[in-house]
Amino acid sequence: MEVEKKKKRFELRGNLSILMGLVVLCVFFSITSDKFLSAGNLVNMLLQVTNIGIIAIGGLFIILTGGIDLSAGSMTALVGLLMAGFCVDNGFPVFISILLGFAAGIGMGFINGLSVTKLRLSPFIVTLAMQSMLRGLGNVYSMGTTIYGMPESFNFVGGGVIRIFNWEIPFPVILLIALFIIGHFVLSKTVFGHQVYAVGGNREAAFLAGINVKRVEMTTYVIAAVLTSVAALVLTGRLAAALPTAAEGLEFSAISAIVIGGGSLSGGKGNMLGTFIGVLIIGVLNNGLNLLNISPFWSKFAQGLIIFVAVLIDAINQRRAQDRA
Amino acid sequence: MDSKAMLELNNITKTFPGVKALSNVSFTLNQNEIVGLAGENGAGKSTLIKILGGVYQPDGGTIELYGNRVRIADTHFGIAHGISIIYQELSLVPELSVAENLYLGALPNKAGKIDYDTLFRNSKEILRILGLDISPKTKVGGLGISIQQLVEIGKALARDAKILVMDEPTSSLGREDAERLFRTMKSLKEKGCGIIFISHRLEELFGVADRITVLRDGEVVDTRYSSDWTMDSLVFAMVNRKIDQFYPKRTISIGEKVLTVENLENKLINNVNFSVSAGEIVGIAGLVGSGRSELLKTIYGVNKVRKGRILLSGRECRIDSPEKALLHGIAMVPENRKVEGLILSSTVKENVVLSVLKKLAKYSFVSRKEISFSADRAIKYFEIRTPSGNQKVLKLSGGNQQKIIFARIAEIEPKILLLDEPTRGIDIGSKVDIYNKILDFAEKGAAILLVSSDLTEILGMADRVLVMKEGTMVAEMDIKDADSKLIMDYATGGR
Repeated sequence: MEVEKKKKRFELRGNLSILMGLVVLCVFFSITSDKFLSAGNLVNMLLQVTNIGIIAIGGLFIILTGGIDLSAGSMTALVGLLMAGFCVDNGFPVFISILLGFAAGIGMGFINGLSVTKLRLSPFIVTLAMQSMLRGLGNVYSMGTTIYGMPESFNFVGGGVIRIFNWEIPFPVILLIALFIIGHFVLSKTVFGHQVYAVGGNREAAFLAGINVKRVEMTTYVIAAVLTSVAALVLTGRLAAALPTAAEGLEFSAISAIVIGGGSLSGGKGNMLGTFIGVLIIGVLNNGLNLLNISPFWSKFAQGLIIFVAVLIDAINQRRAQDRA
Repeated sequence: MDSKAMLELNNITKTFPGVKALSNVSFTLNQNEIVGLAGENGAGKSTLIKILGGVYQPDGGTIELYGNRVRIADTHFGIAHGISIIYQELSLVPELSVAENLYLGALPNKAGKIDYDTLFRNSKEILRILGLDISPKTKVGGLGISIQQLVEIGKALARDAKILVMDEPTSSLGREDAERLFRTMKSLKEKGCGIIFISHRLEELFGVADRITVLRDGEVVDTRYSSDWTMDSLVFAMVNRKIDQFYPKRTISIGEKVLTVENLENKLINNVNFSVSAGEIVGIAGLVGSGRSELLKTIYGVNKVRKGRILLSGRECRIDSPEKALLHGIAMVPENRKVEGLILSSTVKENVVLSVLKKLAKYSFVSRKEISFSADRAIKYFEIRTPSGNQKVLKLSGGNQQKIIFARIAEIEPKILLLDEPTRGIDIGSKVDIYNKILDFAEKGAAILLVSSDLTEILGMADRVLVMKEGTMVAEMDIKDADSKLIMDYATGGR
């Protein structure tokens, strides 16, 4: 029990500096804007970051192995268009349309994964190419137009509301939190999770220790694709429409959240809790600046600044640790 | 010897939070002299080197260079004042030529255009001093590791360094290559250089150093002329205890044949045949690049088998990945623990259980309790010195790191153990610990293949010796008939 507790404290300590950052931001905005701390606004803030968060969960798995996925935004748009299209154009039942959309998304994840593991291409280049190809396919499929007119049930995942006591909580927010908890368990409690860290920490050593590195990497790309498909369903449902231009740059916001949350692009470092805090920081920042009537152009700048500061703090901490060693 | 002091350290002290790394260390290096620096890991050798390199600043004490008091403020000081530190890790650019590497950062040029004539002429001169018969235009990446090591020394010469500090330059070299390095060191000494030489192989210190200084727990224990030390007194000074049995001996009964290799062939090895029995330790000797490591990696499923077969207890097995090898009870300690062995950024615990995660798991969930239990047991059995299982492996000494890899392997209870340089670059205390554990494995019936560049290790541990040369097995001998000269004759083709 002693050891268990110590380990928990340790995990918290690892995320302490970002947690402090989040608290400072929250305090700042609650002083400067009286609307910030209302329950309605906080739920709204969470709703705004649902897609970034869901993509970041899958992205973290990939980044922990030392890979990266730049195709998530385009994949979100294409899968959304396919789901909506099957429903509206082909007249398939809602459930079947969604299922087919997921199948297509998983297929795209397989292509990413196979290119990285079997063809041994660089994840950065492969997913950059996929980003462009999938965006192109989305435009071709929809002929550049918006697809809408899905039945009410289709939109529930993205637009539904669940009543808990007196609170009306949007379904995507519950989904986001549930997915983060599942992600945390998979990453910290399963064999696969441990293997993900090992592969990212030292690929060669993990391979020689008997870990099937390629299978682990493949699995991360498929997990990411499944989560991207969830994000597609949420986004399409919330807008009650699928747009070929949807989710542009979503992967970068997600990667930003992971990096702010202590993830390292060279792999092996980062965790779910940190990423969740990273997502919240982005959400609070966008929401708070919006409340203060500051132009969204500035919020993009602020997001970049926070990444810079987060990486700087991390680098300083690491150098300190190294000097002590 | 008529020599004058080049470098003098007086009462150097350096404290890190919680650790006194060096206390009152005094040390002199004269011209025309090689001083050996001995000590276990953690004795303060690397701290001392880093102070000379300007990486750390001492908290107390003075440094005198040719009689003048100096402050080595940063890493540039050495370049400007003829002190060159040659670290264990090579810092060569593989894509550039030998000449360009030698003068990296100081390429001779005319108005910004590289003066290749001067570059190649100067480089040829340096290669001559080093005794290297290669063209300065050769790409460094294509050279063997031992030659790269010499090029690294050449870099120091190119900067006109008179004081050379060499941190375990021989740790990745075979005997032949090490000998060449020693010849070069001696000729540099004759030319007026002073060299500080660090090695874990004590016989090398005796062979090349004029004086040997021993560090222990951050203090200088003693400095004597090499001829005034004996192997025993040196070891005693280093570890402060008598190691009566450096290579422990036990009678272990040899059982049935466990591993048989028949006509094994691929790109790197050629028609290899041998077998190992339960409880037997078979040493594999040979020069670096003779195919020793490649043979182990082929059995372990890393390299593809092109021809021939591998039989485990008489049954043919196709092993095409380490994952499969482990399932068959074959485990390997790889040659380079930092690159191939450990997840350095991860904890001791995680590294110990890495190969048995599935075994510890229930429905693919692993509990922290299971991991801690296995890891703590292994830490105790292997006497790994770590504050806790949650310590990052990065922060442990080489000896403890190597024990972690052994602990990982013990978890799978191997039937066949492939050891590639299992004690390279680790302190004597850990070495003896590891030798004892190897014998424990043998006692439990494991068949063991031991690859080592340290012939005394092979002669001290093995029951039988195989010698490899250019991918082929050239000799097999019982330990009773083996001696280092005979082995080297086979390994170099002198026989």
